[in-house]
Amino acid sequence: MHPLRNISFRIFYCLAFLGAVLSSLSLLGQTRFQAPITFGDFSGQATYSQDSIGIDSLLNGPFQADNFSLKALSKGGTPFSQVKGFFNANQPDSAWEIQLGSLFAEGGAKWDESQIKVKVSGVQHIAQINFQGGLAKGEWSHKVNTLKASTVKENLFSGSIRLEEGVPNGSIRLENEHATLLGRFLRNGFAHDLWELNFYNERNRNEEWHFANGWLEKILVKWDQGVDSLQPYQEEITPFKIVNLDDRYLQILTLQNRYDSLVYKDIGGKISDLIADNAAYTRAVEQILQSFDTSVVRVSMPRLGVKVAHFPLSETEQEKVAAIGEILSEIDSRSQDLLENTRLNILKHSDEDILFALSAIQEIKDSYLLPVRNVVTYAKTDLLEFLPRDQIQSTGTAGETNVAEITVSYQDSSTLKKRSFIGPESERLGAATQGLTYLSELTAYGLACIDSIELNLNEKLNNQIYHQELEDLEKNLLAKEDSLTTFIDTLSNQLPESYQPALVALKSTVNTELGNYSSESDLATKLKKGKEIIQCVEDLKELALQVSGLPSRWEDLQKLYTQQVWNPFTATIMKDQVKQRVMDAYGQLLIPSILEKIENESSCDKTQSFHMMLDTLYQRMQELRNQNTSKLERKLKNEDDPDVVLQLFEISL
Amino acid sequence: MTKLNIHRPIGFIIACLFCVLGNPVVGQDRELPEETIFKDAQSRLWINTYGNIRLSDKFFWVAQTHFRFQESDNMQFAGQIAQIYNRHAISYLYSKKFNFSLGGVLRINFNTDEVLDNEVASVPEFRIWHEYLFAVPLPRLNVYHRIRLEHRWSKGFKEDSKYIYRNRWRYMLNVKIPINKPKLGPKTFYIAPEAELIMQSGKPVINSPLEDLRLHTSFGYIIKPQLTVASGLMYSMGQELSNGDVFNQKWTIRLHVYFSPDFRKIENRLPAVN
Repeated sequence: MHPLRNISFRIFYCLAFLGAVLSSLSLLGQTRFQAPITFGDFSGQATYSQDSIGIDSLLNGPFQADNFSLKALSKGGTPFSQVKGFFNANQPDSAWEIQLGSLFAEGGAKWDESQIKVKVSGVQHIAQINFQGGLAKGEWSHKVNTLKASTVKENLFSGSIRLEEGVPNGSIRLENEHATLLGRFLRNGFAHDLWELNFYNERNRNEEWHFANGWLEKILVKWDQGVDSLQPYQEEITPFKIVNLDDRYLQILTLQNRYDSLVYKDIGGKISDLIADNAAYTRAVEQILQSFDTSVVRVSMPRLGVKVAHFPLSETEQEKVAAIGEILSEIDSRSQDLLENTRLNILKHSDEDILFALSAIQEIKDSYLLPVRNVVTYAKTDLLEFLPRDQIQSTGTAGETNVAEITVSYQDSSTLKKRSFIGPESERLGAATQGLTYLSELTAYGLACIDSIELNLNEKLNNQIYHQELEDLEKNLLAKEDSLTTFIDTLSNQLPESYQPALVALKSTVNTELGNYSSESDLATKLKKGKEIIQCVEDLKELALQVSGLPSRWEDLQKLYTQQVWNPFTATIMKDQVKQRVMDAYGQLLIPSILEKIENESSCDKTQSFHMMLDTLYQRMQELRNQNTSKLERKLKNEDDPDVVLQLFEISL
Repeated sequence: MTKLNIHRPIGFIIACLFCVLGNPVVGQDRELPEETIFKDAQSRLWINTYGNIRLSDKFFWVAQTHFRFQESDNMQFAGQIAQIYNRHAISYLYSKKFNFSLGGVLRINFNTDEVLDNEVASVPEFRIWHEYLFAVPLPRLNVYHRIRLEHRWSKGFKEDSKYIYRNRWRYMLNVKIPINKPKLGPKTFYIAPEAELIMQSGKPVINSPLEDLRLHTSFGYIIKPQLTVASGLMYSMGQELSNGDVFNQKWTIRLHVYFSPDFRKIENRLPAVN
């Protein structure tokens, strides 16, 4: 394949503007230009003539464009190209020579009359064409040689074809270093009769392609031992379409299941290689010639006519294929996201389900939906109109094979495993349907499979996130629970016996909540509950701290409720506790009652309220010290209901 | 400052007693008996309430009511009401270590013997009294010196009996020792031994200046600063007014309630003292 066949260039007309070096020869209104041009990715210089007629300009006269730079002389450097030709009223005319190549300096540079002459090596492609009025006429030839120190070392490819008004007429000769193909065309340009390939070194081997008015009837590959044959078109088919004899033609034959390239290669067929090479070299030239502004330059490329069966696409089919293409793009995009998800790619090493799911995605993307992908590709490359769509169907036989079942192979750490994957609503994928309808269903099913897998993987990811969070949370939770237990145990040794049941209840509350937490199976709920328990444990610790501070608070209140009293009988100052009933209500009724409530009703939900109750009560006791409590004390005299006493204390919780 | 020296109160008290009483037997012509006559001890029961009602930072209203019973011919042990005693005064708290009081007493004396025709069952007795109390706080106990002076008007149970006027000179040494706590305070048991010498003077007092010597130990409990209860046993002896040769002896069971309410508003109570 010629390295420059994909190069296109465009010519910029830079008439008397910046950067243009104008050297004009005024001769009957003709102007000769030398101006920059762009050859694909690099630029060069073009020399051409142009006639001015009124406001129009016509390309007339010789044309030459060179694209060469010193960089081309280094190995791996940029390819070069040179176009020489002649225009007649904007149409290629007379002889044209197009040289393309990839050369590098071989050494042996010589100084010669102010010039450095360098010998080059590489590949050189020379195409020669004759045009008449924009149409190829006469011989069109390709010569592809390898050069060694500027000397032709080997002829890689030669091709020549006779053309008349752009239409092949007569013979075609294609040859490479191993064999020569001779074929012929009818006057109408269709391949016809025998095309024969003869091998230089294998006299008893040849290959024949038999055409009949453009239809390839049979392929014979002859050896000493016998003949292998293929019969693409045994009869003419209607409708048909005329196409160029090139590698695309071979693709169409494959699509129509008339030619199996593997079988063909297996039997030793070589004509297809020469046809493909010729098409490639012709295409390289064609790309250059078509780089001219087609609104100005009219050039018609020759077609080596062959006929193929044609299956025109209806508007409905086109819409279906477009829809399939969109869904496939979505599948590809989402599949790729999942396949490239770094977290999943890590998790697959420890979670076989994830490994299986990713393998299933890969299988669906690469293999299961391959028929769909092929059809979409055919549509993009304009080959779909040659595909007999009614032959598209599931590979299985209806009723025997579950079309929806996708066999997934995956390699875990030790063995290659196989598992089946069946997506959702698989029953809707009918094995009996065919054609684009089948592909539509298959694509929809593929999308449903990706949906399902993605959902599952997202859940896994979320679960993984939850697991990670839970792991951190549980470490924190256990540390806090341990801290609380130690704290309460320490307090237990320091506090009176009457406080023990309440403190034990606080520990029990944590244990109960942890039990509920561990029995929760839903990860999201578990995470939420775990966070709540952490808060709860902190609250319980606060409450335990508060309970442990009750004796200290009692002492503070005793101090607060104690006044210095002069005892005239002893002539001493004595401490006297005032508002004894208030103090008794606090110390003997309310605090024991709250401790009892903590003991019997402790839970995460109530911890805060206990906390608040103790704080509010303490604060209220401080307030009552300086208030007139005579009425309150009278009411307290006969009251032993803690709830009523709380009301009397004006505490509402 | 005119603050009294309370650290040497005993010398002061004895000096006072001798100055006031002098030598009571000098100048009597009566023949002295060969020995003093001690009557058999009499049993008594005193139920006393002591009130110190705080009026202000410095002033108290002293309100004491004593119910005194003793034995009689018909009552073998302290069953006969003998006196009802109402003592009131205004007390001024000079400092934590000294206060003094001034007030009056109305005492009803009951005739504990058979009331004869020309006798009355009870007679009132009036007193004006003033008291000076010195407190000496020590690390483990409190010592008190009390000097009380009483000016009394009393009479016998005969219908034609006239009031006689006497002065009483009293000194009491009292110690309060906490038992269950290092200091006297609420919920403290204490023991309180005390000795009181009561001398008297006046025209009717011929040869009986020693009215009473009281040796008393009580056991008390301070329920709260405002309320204390105590009980004790007291031995006392003293000369009969009409015959100094004769000494009366008495054993008295004493039951005391001490109360010191403060009806002031809370905001007016501070500071507690001084």
